[in-house]
Amino acid sequence: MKNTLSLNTGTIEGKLNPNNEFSLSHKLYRKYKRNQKSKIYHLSTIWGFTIFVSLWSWFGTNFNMASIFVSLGGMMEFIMIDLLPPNFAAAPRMMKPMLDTIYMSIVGVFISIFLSVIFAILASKTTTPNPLVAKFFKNLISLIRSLPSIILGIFLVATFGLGTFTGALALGISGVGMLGKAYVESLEEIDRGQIEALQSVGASWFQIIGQGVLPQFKPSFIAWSLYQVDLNIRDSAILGMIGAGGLGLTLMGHVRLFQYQRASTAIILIFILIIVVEYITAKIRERLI
Amino acid sequence: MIRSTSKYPNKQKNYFAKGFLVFTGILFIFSFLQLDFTMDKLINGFERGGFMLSRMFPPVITDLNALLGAAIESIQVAVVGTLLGVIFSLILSVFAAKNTSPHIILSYLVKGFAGFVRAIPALIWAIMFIVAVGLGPSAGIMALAINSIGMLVKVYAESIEEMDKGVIEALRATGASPFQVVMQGILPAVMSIFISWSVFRLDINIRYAAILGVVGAGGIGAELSRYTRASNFDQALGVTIIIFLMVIAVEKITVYIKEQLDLPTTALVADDE
Repeated sequence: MKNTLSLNTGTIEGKLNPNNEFSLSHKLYRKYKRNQKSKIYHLSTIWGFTIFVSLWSWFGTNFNMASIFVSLGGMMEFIMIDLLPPNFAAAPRMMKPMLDTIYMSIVGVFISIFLSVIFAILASKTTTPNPLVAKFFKNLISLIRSLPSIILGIFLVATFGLGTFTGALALGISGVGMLGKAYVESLEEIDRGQIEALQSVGASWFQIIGQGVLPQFKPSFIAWSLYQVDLNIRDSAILGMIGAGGLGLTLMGHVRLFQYQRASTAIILIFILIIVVEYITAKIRERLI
Repeated sequence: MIRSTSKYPNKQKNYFAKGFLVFTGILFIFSFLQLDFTMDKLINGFERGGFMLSRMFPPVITDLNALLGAAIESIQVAVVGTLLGVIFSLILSVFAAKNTSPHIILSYLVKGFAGFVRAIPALIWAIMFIVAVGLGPSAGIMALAINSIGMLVKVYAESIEEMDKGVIEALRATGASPFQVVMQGILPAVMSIFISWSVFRLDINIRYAAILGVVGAGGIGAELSRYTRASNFDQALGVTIIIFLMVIAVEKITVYIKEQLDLPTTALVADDE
């Protein structure tokens, strides 16, 4: 009520005296009100859209409350009867696939780092030789990012055949999506003063990269690259399912043969591997940075 | 994640860094030698790659309606999976956050559960649910929901723990019930960061939903694996393009929603992606 009142007076006063200070604040108030109105309109549209999409998906997939309990019950039954107890007698034979998973991840990370550093230097605003080149490589990185690694894996398996080398290649290429983006962002965040200082003394492009950019880029480079190792361990467990070797392949094999107690051993090994690798990379990160 | 200060002295750090560099070099060469890499394989691969490319281009989409139907199913699976994950995480995170949990042991239990769930990749959950409840979207939805819980409980609980203590204490002092504390005190304070994480998780889930079909959980991934098994690579590429467009479209929508709601940005590093 109070707002309406002041608004009314505002209109009168503003009409009477356009130079009045009050008319300005009144205009601002009107603008604020209008903005708020459009914001509320926007918010209700977005919430309405969200609720609509949720309902549409809920009924579209024929999902209901009962299926939650049915599937959770089925899962419990499956875990209790089929998965447990894990058959640890199969564990020694899984050591080779487990090592394969680690080797694949490591080689994959090196491939990603190699490609990402080149792509990122060409793509980031700070270091690119040409804005068009930057645009091209930025798009290339986001293209790779949008493509799930398993799809890339499917095409690579068809090309290079089954095996761990294919897995490493798939991890290496799909890692560029994540690592390249992270590198580009860190390169664009660095202090430009040092680069300008080098430019002003007539340093060449390679000298600027070597002396001005890389030293500042090092901490984030190490952090992101180590993070990629974590991601690769997870991904390589998945890539095995399409025949790229490693623990995922072992797991899929046992699931297909209904040997669930051996499959649960593989799951436990994947779990331990992920935890241990995350712990080690966290420790290395702490010491290096 | 990135810290400039270290608890180790500089010189010692330098030795460690140099040693580490040498070590990684050796590790790379050793790992590379362990792979089943041969020169023949590489040369054959390139020959076959040329052949593959000629088979893949131009991409073919024979049954657009069926593919779009499958893509829509994937999106729906991702949305319902995210929705369930968000609802369960909302409830669990109240018990997981130290400042709102009824008992500290309960907090550790829920956090441990979330950590365990998070460490097992989504596709492995999918396989387990397929065996447990059978093929179809339900398995995919549950796998995504469970995997989302692993991540969301962690980030939700962290944001509850970071919030102002005074709000909760003030409400408790007025004799509010635990439910009232959650609805009146916690939810309004953490709402925007929760929405932000949930939208981020939807992005991740769309990517997973697209590939769940590869292990048999329905959606567009099933079409992809059907065509690659039959070596119809031109059609497989067509499916890949649709998946790609689907992921991009959903990402554009979520970015738009984030902008409109003026949400706080979430870290790029959150979970596997």
